Amino acid sequence: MHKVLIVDDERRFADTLAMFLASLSPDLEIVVAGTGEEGLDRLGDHPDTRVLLTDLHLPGIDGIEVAQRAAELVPGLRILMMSGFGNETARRTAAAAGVERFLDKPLDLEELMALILKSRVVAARHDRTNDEIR
Amino acid sequence: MMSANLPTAVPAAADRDVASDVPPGNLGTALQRAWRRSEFAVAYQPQFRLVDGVVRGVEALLRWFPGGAEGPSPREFVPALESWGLISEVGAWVLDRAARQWCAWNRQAIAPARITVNVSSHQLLDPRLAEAMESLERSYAVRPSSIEIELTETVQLAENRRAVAEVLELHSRGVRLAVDDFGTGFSTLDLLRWLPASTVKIDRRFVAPLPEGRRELAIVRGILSMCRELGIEVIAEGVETLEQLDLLRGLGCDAVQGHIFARAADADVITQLLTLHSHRTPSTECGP
Repeated sequence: MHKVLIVDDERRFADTLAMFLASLSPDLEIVVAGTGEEGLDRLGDHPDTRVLLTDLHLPGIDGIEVAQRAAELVPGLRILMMSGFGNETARRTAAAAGVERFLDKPLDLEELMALILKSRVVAARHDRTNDEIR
Repeated sequence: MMSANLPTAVPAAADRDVASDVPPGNLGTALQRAWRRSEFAVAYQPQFRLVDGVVRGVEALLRWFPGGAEGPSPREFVPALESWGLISEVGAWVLDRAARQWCAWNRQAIAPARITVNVSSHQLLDPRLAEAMESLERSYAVRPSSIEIELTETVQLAENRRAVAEVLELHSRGVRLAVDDFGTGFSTLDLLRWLPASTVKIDRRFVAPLPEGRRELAIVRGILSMCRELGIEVIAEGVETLEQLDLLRGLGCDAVQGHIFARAADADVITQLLTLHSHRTPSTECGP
């Protein structure tokens, strides 16, 4: 299973997104967290998570800090950030924090699916390489 | 002769499934030729439960490929099939194809709980429908409870006692009844008083303006509330955005159908989708 962690304080939206992603690609395992702290806890529980999809604005620690700490916690993690209010400064800060792609809300679902499916292909290739090394 | 009942208004581009190159005046003749030349095909579109994203059913949809190219939308040519007296024959063929496909999925252990097929009131007056239903059980071991018929043109249905009797007979055999395009006909509310429908499909016209459309939102909320009271499952049609999906989940809608999850596609594509879902989609109503 390819694990994706969604962090968004709009819990219903996060659950809908999780349901949508899991339906389109049932080999995805989606984990949902409502705060940055909870998201980092989930990453600790699931260190094999491949993709983090976090909102920028969160109660407590914000998405930028979540991205920074998540990248340290899980090397190789692909980080996507989403926001309905992402200005240029936020985008630059996010990129510096290791965010691969900044997604505007409402989300472009085709773009999101393409990114997640691409991450799955890259992860599979990475796993094969590691197997060969071993 | 071309019937006066043929549609005069061509649906707006957004309402059409495919582009039309067939001149309206020649539609009836073209359809007769199409039937002889086997130019019809069946496409399938899955319906997803909102509680867990599981495929709750697959709708079989008639498509027409004149000369191998994409043809008019069913909204355009199905009324013409009725006017030209072809609908019973073509409808029985769709039912047969759908049942055969469901049987193939069942053999692969990926069948959804039900296959749904559109049935017009014209078909309900034709004894071949009952015969077709019986032969499905014999030929493909499809249980009636795995078949859901979507009733369109419910105004005509309510006014025709023979059609009503036929619907009730099918229901007594276990066939599930769904009211299609709910909210767009004048008698659909009355229909729910007496029709033992298990499913109502909210027409895409109410879904497309969501989440902004306040009037449509009020109507959708009302339909959901009413159907909840009546114990009727609700499917929203034409769902295309995450915001619509999120809103409908929040309102307690049971299932959705629309481009957000999957467009109508041929059986091979849907087979792949069902295979992916098979580990999370229990086929609870498989045939023997």
